[in-house]
Amino acid sequence: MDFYNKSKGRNTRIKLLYLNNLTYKTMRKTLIFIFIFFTCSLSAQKLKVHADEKGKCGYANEQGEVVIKCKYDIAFEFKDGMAKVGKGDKLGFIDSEGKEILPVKYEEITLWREGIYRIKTGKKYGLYSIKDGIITKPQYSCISDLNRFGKAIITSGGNVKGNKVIKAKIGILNSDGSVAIKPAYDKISEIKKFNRFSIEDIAGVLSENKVYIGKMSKTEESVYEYKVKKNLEVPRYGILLSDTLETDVEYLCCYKGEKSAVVGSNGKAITPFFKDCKFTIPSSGMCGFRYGTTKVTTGYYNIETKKKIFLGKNIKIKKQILAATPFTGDIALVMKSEDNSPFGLYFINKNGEQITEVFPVVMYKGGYWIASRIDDGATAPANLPEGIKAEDYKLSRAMLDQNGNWVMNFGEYWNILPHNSGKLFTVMTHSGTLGVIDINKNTVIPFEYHQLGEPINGWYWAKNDKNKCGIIDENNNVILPFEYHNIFMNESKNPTNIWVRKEENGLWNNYDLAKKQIVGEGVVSSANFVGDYAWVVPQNQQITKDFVYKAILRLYPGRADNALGILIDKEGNHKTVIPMPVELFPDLAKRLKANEDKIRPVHEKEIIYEKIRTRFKHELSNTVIEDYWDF
Amino acid sequence: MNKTTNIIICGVLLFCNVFHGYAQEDEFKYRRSSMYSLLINHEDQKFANEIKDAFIKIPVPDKFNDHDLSVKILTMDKKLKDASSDKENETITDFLQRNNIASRLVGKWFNRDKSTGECDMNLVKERGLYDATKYDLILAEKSARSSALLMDAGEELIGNTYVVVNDIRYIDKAKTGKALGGIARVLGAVAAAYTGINFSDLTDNIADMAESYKGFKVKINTFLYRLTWNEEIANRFYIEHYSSEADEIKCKNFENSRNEYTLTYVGKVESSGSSTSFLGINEAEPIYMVRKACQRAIDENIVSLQNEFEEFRIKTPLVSNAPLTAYIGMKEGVTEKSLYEVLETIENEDGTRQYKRVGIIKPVKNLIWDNRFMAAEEGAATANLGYTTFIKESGSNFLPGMLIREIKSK
Repeated sequence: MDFYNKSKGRNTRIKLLYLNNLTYKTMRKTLIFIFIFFTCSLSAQKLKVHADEKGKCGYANEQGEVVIKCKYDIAFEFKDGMAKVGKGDKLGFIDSEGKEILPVKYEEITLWREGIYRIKTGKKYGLYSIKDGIITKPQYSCISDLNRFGKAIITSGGNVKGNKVIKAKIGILNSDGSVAIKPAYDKISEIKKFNRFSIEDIAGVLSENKVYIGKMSKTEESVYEYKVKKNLEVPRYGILLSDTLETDVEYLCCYKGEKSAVVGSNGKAITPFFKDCKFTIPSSGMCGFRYGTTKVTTGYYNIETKKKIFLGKNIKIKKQILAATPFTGDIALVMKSEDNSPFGLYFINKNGEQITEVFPVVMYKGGYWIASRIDDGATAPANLPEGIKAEDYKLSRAMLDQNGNWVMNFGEYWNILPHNSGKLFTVMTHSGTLGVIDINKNTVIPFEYHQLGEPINGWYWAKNDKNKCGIIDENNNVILPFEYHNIFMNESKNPTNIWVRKEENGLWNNYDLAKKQIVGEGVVSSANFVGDYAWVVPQNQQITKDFVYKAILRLYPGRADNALGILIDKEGNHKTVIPMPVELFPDLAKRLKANEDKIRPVHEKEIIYEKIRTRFKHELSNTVIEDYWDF
Repeated sequence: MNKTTNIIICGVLLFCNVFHGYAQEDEFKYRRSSMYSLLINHEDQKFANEIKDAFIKIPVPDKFNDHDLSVKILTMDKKLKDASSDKENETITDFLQRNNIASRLVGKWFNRDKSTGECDMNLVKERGLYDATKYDLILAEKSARSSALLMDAGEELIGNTYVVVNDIRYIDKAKTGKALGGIARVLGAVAAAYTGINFSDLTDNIADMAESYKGFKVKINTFLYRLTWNEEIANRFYIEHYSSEADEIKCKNFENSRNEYTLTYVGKVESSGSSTSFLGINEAEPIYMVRKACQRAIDENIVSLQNEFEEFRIKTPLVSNAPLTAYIGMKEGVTEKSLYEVLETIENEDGTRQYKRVGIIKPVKNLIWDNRFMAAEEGAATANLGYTTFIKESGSNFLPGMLIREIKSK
């Protein structure tokens, strides 16, 4: 740049010229430097494995020049600036200059996670970080793969037999190589986050949303039989080298001999060691335990106070069955049955004291407990709340929060159903109408409905006093008018089409929410719209019992004709021709989308026969049944 | 040099370093042979299921049209009798005849509805790259031009339909006498001749599952058959069996004449039995080794068949003429010793085609694309080329879109 400031004179001009020149030189040098640096970097990344005539491996650059001598028996590609190489049966790492950054003396080097390798020497495993070098000296008989939570099993000592380690001490490793739980235990068992409990044929599940306690199947797992992997259960099975953990190991049941305790992720036991004990996952500072076989002791361990609370000691299991849920907040539910009497359910506090009457049925949903006094021969107590009839009392429900407070009392509502959010509640009045209230009992949706479904994406299916169905939103605005006998709610977000039925056993119709009207013909049955299409069984569908039909029955044996349908679009136009099972809907929809909304019968056939091709095999010596052939 | 020039030079050099300069991606449409491939799966062997699953995923090579039927997996629980012989295999031929495979291949060409006998020419038009409207018009004339068009389709398309039967057997490592644990093996002697790279394999002591996949080896006998299609058969078909609408009589005629459509045995090849490297396989998913081993061996056999049987050789278009490049590589058997004729396609007024040789080219030694399955994961030197570069041996005026076909075996 030639800048001349007349006011400042000639010297300024020279100075500026000089500065400009300097800037230019600097810029040129910088550009050249960047170019060289970039080229060198690219060159380093482009080293490729090269072998000489004797089969020894080294590395060559892009031009084919050997830059790392061919002296290895095996060589792998460079990654992160390092390459794994081997001599004989030993492995190590070299850098791009051929320098051994991890000596070639390890029997195994496998990628453990990004940037960290598991190394093995002399039967011991350790960890090597590309950034920090050896972060765990080879000392463990096993380091398992990391699970999705970043935890791995480690074992110390023991014997390796084949792909198992037995009689070792077991611990847990974090993903950065630090020890979470020292390998000091004879066995470990993981405790799953969801808490399950059962007493023989009475079972319930405490999940995020709800638990029912009532007679269920015998196949439910016991509350104290949390998921135990067979090979972790007893020392004789040992640890499989390919084992991985399933949980995040926030808590782990660890055994020393026959005694077990719950150990936290910091490696410290949070309960005492009990013999033959099973635990529930600690919650709200309480850890349920149960030990014994024919005579059972059940209780809780208060982690804060370190006190044991016994619900029952040495109880003969045939005489009395006793179990309890994990604590939710300050309360837990206990189930008791003596001498085969019906189960009683009641709540206890953290001191183990019973704080409620005994109920026959309890439900947990949205963070609340719903207790029910189902008509089961129970008689009403002497003092009923004012205005409540005895009959109402028997059949009504009440709601308890996690602090043990009754937030909705018996007699207030006929029925209570918390929403999953735990913020709203569908309730039924004693006159049988339904509405939605909040925790302060403010009306959110007025009590105008005779049936009200659970909200799906903020919409409710509802039935009014005229026995007609419609859809309302959370502000009681009508989305779909109350003109129908039935509605098939669509669980997609912001659906544009809903299937409705005008009469019982009538056809299903496609209601377009934007046009506010039914479009297309009625159908016998349908699946909800997914994207632009829905699978339907149209009325008067004719099924040709041709070879394609037979092929479909080979794929779906026993499928009835009225369970074969076609695809339609939102206007009700038929998009496919061959009646097919609903399971093929995704393949058909995909094909339609790929072919600009059009496919021919030949393409539909291709979908069926593609399934046939991949699913069935045929004896070479036989004649293949004609049903399996497409042509 | 002025500063602007310097900057530009630096920029260009930088640019050249960053970009590899792949050939243009335009695809040239050209007629291909059609292939139906089958697996004979030996259920008496280990890994039978893995081999079956891998085979299902192996696509028909992209230089062929997919003419697969709905039966693809055949099973037997013993060794295939006379599998090693070059002669026509009785067991396989018997299966193909007994199940009327030839007629089914014809049925597929014409999208024949088994129930009604209705046919169409859509696939012929599509694969023959005919102008669909012009095609229909000419056919409707029922003139000499129509006949010529049908013959053209017959010769180049329908008559170039092949059945490839792959008899795959797993080779048990224990029986090969190789010691397990800690012994490096040097492999890839075939690859070394062409690329100068050997890939070594190393067995080690990780879990049994991955261990058993390392060194996974299969032996594949591939049997080639060709659909018999000549003027006589074509005439019979068009007159007595083809109908553009449902036709009970023609439908029945075809069903009763299925065994008159035949396949001709062309020949057989056996894979070299060279081991496939475990390089590039994710150790957490060693099952990919099965696919790699099977696919490499099948591709090798396809190449061998093309070397031995000229009729089976593929054509592929030049994608550029300066330099001469094509999307073909080691997977198709390209070596530095290969020679290719360059063909100019002449399309006649009646829609028929002819090919005229206009020159010969050969691959450049270090610029042969390694497009074998998982070559890139293996770290093969030329895996990222994307195409093979050729130089002229004779002829001139080569244009992109002209087809090349190998004329000399290695």
